[in-house]
Amino acid sequence: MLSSNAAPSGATTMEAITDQPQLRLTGVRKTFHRDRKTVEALRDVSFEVPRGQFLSALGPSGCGKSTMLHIIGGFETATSGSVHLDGKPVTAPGRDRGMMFQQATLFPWKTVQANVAWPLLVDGWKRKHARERARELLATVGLSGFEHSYPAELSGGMRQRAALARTLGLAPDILLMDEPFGALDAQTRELMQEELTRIWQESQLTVIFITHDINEAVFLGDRVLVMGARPGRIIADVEIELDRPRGAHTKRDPKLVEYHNEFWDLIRQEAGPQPSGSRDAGETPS
Amino acid sequence: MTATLTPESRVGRREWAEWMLDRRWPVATAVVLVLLAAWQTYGVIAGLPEYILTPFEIAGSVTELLASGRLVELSSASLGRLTAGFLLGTTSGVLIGLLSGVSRWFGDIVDGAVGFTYPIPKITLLPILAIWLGFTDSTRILVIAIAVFFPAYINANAATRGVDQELVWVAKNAGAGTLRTVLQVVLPAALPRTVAGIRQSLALSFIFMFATEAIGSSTGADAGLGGEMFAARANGEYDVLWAALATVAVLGGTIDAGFRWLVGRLMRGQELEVTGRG
Repeated sequence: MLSSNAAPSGATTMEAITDQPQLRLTGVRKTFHRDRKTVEALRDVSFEVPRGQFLSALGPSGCGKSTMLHIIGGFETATSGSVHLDGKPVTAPGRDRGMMFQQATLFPWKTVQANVAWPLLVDGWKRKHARERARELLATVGLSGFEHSYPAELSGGMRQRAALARTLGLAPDILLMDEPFGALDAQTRELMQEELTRIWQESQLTVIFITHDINEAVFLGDRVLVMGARPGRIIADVEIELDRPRGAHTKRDPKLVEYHNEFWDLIRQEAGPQPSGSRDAGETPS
Repeated sequence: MTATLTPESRVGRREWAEWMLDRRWPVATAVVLVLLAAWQTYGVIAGLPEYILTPFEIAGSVTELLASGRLVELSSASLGRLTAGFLLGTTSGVLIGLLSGVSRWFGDIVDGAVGFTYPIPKITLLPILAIWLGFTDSTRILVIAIAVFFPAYINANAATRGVDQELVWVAKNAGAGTLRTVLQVVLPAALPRTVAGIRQSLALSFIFMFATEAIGSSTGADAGLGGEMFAARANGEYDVLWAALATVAVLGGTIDAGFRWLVGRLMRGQELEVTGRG
């Protein structure tokens, strides 16, 4: 293995483990068969994520970024290539990777509290303890007082807060977030970004956050992967040097604007001379 | 009023607003009353043919039949058949539908058989089954059961197949096994559409109750409302005919309303998917 070679001689086993990236994708490729045609959703996606990093993956729709996240989550399998978490290959979903979707995907027949408690019960928690833990988690995401509401009674932002609480309840090592704020209105999205930053700073989880919103990717991320479409692949990998802790003030940081412009130029180049929409329209089966 | 937005006041206010919007029933009731009044007035002033009774005459006839015990006798005979056929048909329809939605293998086998039999008008089974079982309650119950099987099956099956993939992923992410995922996620998620199918079956069971009683029925206590209506028509007893019709309408409306009330209680948080009014 490369990692063992890279470890300096005489280093203890412990150091070797902490040096190793938490997540490693190696040559991940994914193809679909649609209408007798083979569509390449991902081509040779390789990157490493160190423990505790907030990684944003930025790309247009159809660049395979969701597929990439599903493969990391173990919900879909790569056509070739591999995903390793702490050195072990990923083959199935697991509680070590907490997944969040664009829709809150709460169970509509359960109250908010019961939704958050459900994964704990699956894990064999006592009902009483699961309930208490669910309340704590809901307090963390600012949903105290809504324990007994049903998802249909909540706003979109509140539902995503509840989904975040449920995912945090898995006690994951990595949060996989698939455009979780994409369906929210602009103001709610900004507030949720600040809230997520706060929660992440307190937890020091590793996060992979998918978005097509440049400012969101830069504001949240320690690092941004820029992806191109057809086939989906990584076209840039940029460290974001904005001060931590970040908050509302970060959004007025001139460096944020610089990053925004830099990424826009990348995306524009990638899209080529024709309007970016026409490429999609030509190849997307509808 | 204070401007604080506690969860309680928020939900309370929303429910109040919904309650206000939902008060359409006084208007709906008024429309029905106006129509009945017009019918009654026209009947009194202009006169109606002998075979059409006014609302008051129908009410009188219902009261008379109720007092004699005949209406209860007919209704219980009808409702007995309806209940047996409905339960038999919907239970098997829902169970097979859910199962074939969960298991692709089972589903593909059953779907073929259902697709083949679905277009057959179910009432045509009545004479065929009557050859075998005679014009008995067994025949009637079986025809009702077969007829109501289809909406129950089709909706339960589609509901299970249509469950959001991401809900299943949430369960897998939590480490839930297949059985737990099916019982605690797929089936509850499939419930609204399944229940909508059961409601269609319920409506259909009334139609088939009437249709099966209309043919080869006795005129005794077990004639049922359908049998009695046909006998009354033949004998020119239009008051009995109308009283039975009114009873079918009231029973159907009441049972459907009761069903919707029960579903509303049992399925908080989930909307009932219904075509038409829900």
